[in-house]
Amino acid sequence: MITIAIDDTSPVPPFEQIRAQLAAAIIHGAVTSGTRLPTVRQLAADLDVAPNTVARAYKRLEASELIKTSGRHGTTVADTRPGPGARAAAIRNAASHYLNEVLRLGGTVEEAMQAITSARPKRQTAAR
Amino acid sequence: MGMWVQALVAPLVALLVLWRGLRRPADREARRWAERFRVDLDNHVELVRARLGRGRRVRAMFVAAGVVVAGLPPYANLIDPHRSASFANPLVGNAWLYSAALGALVAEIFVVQRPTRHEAALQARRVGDYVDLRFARAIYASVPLATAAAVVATALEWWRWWYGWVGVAGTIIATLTATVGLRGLVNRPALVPAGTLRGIDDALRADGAFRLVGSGFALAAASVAVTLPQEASRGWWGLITIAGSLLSLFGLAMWWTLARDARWSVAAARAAS
Repeated sequence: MITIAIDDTSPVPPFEQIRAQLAAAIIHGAVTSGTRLPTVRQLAADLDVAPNTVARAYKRLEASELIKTSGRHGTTVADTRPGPGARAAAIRNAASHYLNEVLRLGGTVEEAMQAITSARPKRQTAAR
Repeated sequence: MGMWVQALVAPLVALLVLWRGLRRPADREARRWAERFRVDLDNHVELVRARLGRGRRVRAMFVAAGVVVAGLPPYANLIDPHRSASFANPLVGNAWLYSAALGALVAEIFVVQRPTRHEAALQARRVGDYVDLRFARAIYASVPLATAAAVVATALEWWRWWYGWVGVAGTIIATLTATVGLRGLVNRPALVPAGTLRGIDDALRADGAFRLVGSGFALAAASVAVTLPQEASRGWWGLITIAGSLLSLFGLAMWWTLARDARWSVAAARAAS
């Protein structure tokens, strides 16, 4: 069973944590296309957060075309092949998480960029 | 003497209902419950006993109050026989069914349950996971049925016109209690996202759903029976009176079956949907 969790100690706002985890689950195929998601009220109650927090996350996911909402059928996962918008949003999201983690460890933006650059040649070497 | 006996029946029945309702469910009752809803109790027997006991207490108090109200006519007969007839109407007579439906609603929507951590399963909860939707639909269908019967009864028996509309009100109340109760039950926070306790949580919701629908069904059936024309039923039309009585009995039988004997698996219902 796929679960999402909110880390109270993280500087990332709860709605962004929800959005990010749902987006990752959808993009990686852990939640398949057509799967019905909990309603805003249900997910908010289960996570013990305000309904607006979940609603905000769902709105962003809908804008990224990862989910779709129709009144009668509730909220369902859209076609899992992410469009260009969803792909770009997922990349931005991953970068945002990485940067937040570096800052939390006391690093700087420059150090974060340097680490990405130094990681890059090794990945390309491994790919060959 | 007979009047005293009649007047004492309702309070005695109310006391019996309270006595049964205030008892904490026994261990074997909890295990039988787990077998009905196909869950593994593991080491959560006490939690299940506490939750079932709480629901039982709330419902019993409401039913007992309704039984006392339903016993007003014989009691009024003791005080002032000339006025007792004003209490002999379907609203008072079915008071215990109204209160049973309200009690089932209160028992479900006022459950205080907070998640133990900020973690949730990505699994939608729907009413159909917890109860067969045909019963809920039957309750909803009782409203137009009762309305049609009330219109006919008012046309045939204008001197007791309000009886029919009391019946319509009863079906509306049955519909509202079932709808609000089922929604509240479905949207109640989950205790945990996964594991045995989640299965128990789902089974408790299903138990509540069956009791909501059962009491709503009984109220709806009795209310439809009340709308049927009574005094104009001569000759073959007298079958209408028999049909009304049978309908009420059927409603009660369904309530009993749904609340005590129905078997249900939330996991199987989810897989089938």
